[in-house]
Amino acid sequence: MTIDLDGRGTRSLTPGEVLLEVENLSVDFDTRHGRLRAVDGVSWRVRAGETLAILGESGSGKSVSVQALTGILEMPPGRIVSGTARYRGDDLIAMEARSRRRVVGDRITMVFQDSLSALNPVQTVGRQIAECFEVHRGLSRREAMRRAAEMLDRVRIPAARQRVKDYPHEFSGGMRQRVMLAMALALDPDVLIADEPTTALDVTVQAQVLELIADLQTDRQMGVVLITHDIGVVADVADTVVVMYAGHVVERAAARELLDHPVHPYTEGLLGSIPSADLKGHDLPTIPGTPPSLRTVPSGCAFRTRCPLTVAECASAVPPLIPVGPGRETACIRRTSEVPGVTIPHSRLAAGGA
Amino acid sequence: MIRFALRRILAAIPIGLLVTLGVFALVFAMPGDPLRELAGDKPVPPSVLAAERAQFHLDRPLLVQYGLYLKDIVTGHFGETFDGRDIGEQLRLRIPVTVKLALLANAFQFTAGMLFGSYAGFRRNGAVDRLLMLATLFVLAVPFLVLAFAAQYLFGVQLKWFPVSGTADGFPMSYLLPAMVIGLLSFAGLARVLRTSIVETVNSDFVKTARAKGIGEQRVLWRHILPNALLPVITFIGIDLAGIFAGAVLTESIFNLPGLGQFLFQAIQLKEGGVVVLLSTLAFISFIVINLIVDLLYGVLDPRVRSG
Amino acid sequence: MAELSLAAPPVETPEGTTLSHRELLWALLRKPQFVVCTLALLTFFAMAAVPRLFTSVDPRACDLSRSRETATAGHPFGFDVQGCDYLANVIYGARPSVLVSVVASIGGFLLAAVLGLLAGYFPGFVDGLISRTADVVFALPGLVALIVILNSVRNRSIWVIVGVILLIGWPAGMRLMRSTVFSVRNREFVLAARAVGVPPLRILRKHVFPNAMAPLLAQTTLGVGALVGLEAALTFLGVGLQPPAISWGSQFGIAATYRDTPHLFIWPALFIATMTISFMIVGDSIRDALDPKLLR
Repeated sequence: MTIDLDGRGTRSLTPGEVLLEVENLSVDFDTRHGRLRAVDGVSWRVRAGETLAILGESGSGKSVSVQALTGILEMPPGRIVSGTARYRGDDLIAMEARSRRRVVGDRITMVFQDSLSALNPVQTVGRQIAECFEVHRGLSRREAMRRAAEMLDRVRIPAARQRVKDYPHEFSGGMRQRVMLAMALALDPDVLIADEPTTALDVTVQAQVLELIADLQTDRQMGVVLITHDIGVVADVADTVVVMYAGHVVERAAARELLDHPVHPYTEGLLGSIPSADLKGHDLPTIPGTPPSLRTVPSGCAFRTRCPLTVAECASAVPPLIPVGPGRETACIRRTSEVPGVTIPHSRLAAGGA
Repeated sequence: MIRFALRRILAAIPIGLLVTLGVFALVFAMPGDPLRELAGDKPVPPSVLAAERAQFHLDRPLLVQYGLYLKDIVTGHFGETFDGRDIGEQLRLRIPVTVKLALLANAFQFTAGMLFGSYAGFRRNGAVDRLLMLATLFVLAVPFLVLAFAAQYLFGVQLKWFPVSGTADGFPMSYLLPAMVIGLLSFAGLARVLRTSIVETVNSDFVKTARAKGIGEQRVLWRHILPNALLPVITFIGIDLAGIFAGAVLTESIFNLPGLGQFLFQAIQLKEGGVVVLLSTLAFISFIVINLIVDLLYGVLDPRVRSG
Repeated sequence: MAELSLAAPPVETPEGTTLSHRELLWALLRKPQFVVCTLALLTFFAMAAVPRLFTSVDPRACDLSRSRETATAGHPFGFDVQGCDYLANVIYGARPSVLVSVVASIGGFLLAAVLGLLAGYFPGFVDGLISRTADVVFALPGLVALIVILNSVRNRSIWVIVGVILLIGWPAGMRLMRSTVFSVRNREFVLAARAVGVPPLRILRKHVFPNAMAPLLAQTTLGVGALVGLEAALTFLGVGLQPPAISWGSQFGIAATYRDTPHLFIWPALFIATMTISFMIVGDSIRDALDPKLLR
């Protein structure tokens, strides 16, 4: 499948080129309980043709970090304290809103979790897709609508030509998520940021949507940032993984390696708590306790209160990310080399994954 | 759409008949003979009284009376009031008074409500927002009667900017004070509804989507925020307009304006069944028409209602 | 699907959990405006119950020669048209306002709750009957209907006025209750109760009502002040309480004809406005406390 573009604003992507590079990003929130740090010194990068998964529970700061760099985070109460986010060398955070809008929405686009509330309920889906062509490509309304219908067809919505005139509530959940995808992919972006794109969908539809993203990705070496709390999704599509806990990156590794040999105790706990047939008759291992509220993040390592390996030093300082092997880093003072405590058999991920 | 409107109108007719019959029955149920009471202590020859009773259908049973009044309304033969004024002529004089008052009050309400409501909504927790929320809480809490009297006393008696009551100074001078009092009251409601709606819409996911599409703030505002944020406002304005007739009864009494509300109030006091049926029919028709317009408008603006 | 099996409650909303009654009370008592307004309302209630606590003067002991005199020592509010002490009259005027607003609110809440429960829980005939009746009553211009009915009653006591207000006013609350009952009636705990054969009335009382009453309660609390104003408006129009009953509404009526004597208007206006604003702020605080979403 080829994506036909009118050529404006696009350069061909070299495979492996770094498209988006986030460094030391910190975001605060002003609340009535004072200032809270939602994202603390987060760094990651996504290359052309690569899928980066940001894995974490709700409240770990994974959504906030991408909303901050694309400029859609509400500020105030949010506030970017430090950090850069370079799209092919240009820092999005330092940029003026006007120039950032030429990148975000055109070269970097987003897909959100809840497609029902993420689409304007009083506009036809066609108009919402066409708006991208009108604003960024200056197409006429008529031409933009024609292209919108093409996009719906490309994301495999049946009878696309008629359905452009329908409203979001007239689509099923899976179809609506395709509409979101059509909107995000309309301008053939370099980077697609997908914020829990499949969480609200049932398993078979999830697989279809992920497959669709993968298909469209391979055509033009698009970089994909996939935000998820779902290890199955990571196992299915991710190339690299960044694990976040309470606003910090705690582990970074190639997906296969991370799933085979988790190093950080949190990652280990996550992988250990996947249900599978091997565990039949046994209790499912879980991580004790609940993720900390941002108001009550423990000092030092945020995970130490739930960690089986915790020692007194864990409380003294936030552990830095240190290399534990080729291309992988972990933030744990108890695990400074790649000596995994458990190894997760592939069969369990394959069985659990969509 | 036309079918929808027709269905609504047809469904409204029986309700309208029930409502006006109910109101009429209550007037009819009032004790005493209205004509004899009107005459007071003056001796009236029985033959004259009988003729008058026949003129106003008072010698017939309740349902027949009601039917005859309805017939008069449909055929346009409104007849006279008890004291011999032509009812058609009264309507011609009084409808403009009530309509002028309503239009002026709504002009105040819209301009102030939309301006302050949207400003407060977009600058939530700012100084204007806090002040507005406090001020509207007070306006909504203080009874209309108190507000109207205070305005009359302050601007009419003390400052002498506006006439206290009556229509001697004509339009718009005589209408400004009552219109401002009604406008202030309904402005408070409108501003609050709009503010809440904007706050909710601004924080909704689809506005984030619009921003993520990289479109300008102006376009986000006009294409995405306002079309959604104004939906509850339409409902509010509809309810507001439908209440105008009832509100007119009180306002026109306080400010002594010779409009329909005052006419209705006098007719109730004098137990003029014919006039009461006529005016409550008018009130009901305006209620239904306004509701219908609001529903149709809502259907045009919100596709979810259209298909549901 | 391999979901994380650690349950992750939403982190940012520690106040999102439902409050117990004690916590609710504490949350309210921490708000100074709530405390002040509650004290004001308690004062008005005391005024309505035992007016002698606030004035020793008989409101009907009058001296025509002192008609409309302004404040003097011992008579801080001056005198009314008949030369009676105005302070005593304004204080005795609290009773009808308090009675009408409180009784009509409680009665209205109960009426709307019962009818709304029935209409929402028994679709079909019961719902049709109640809802269609509501349509008819709702289509009446409220104030006009009140005037027509009250005008046909010879001797209007407070109870007649309350009764007529209830008769005309129930549809709005009923509709609100009905819609919340609709959203509760198919929730799991109701289905569970139905599945184990709990009789319908008990389900309504024990399961549906407690979970569906909050919106109606909030609307009712916010509406109490409006009823105070309504009573005054009706009396002003001459279809409310009749002389010799003392009420703020009738004081307005007299004040309207003596515009050069502002104290006749100012004192009852001040009292009535304080009372309605207090009701409004108390209602507003309760609603905020019941709805943690609004806390920011």
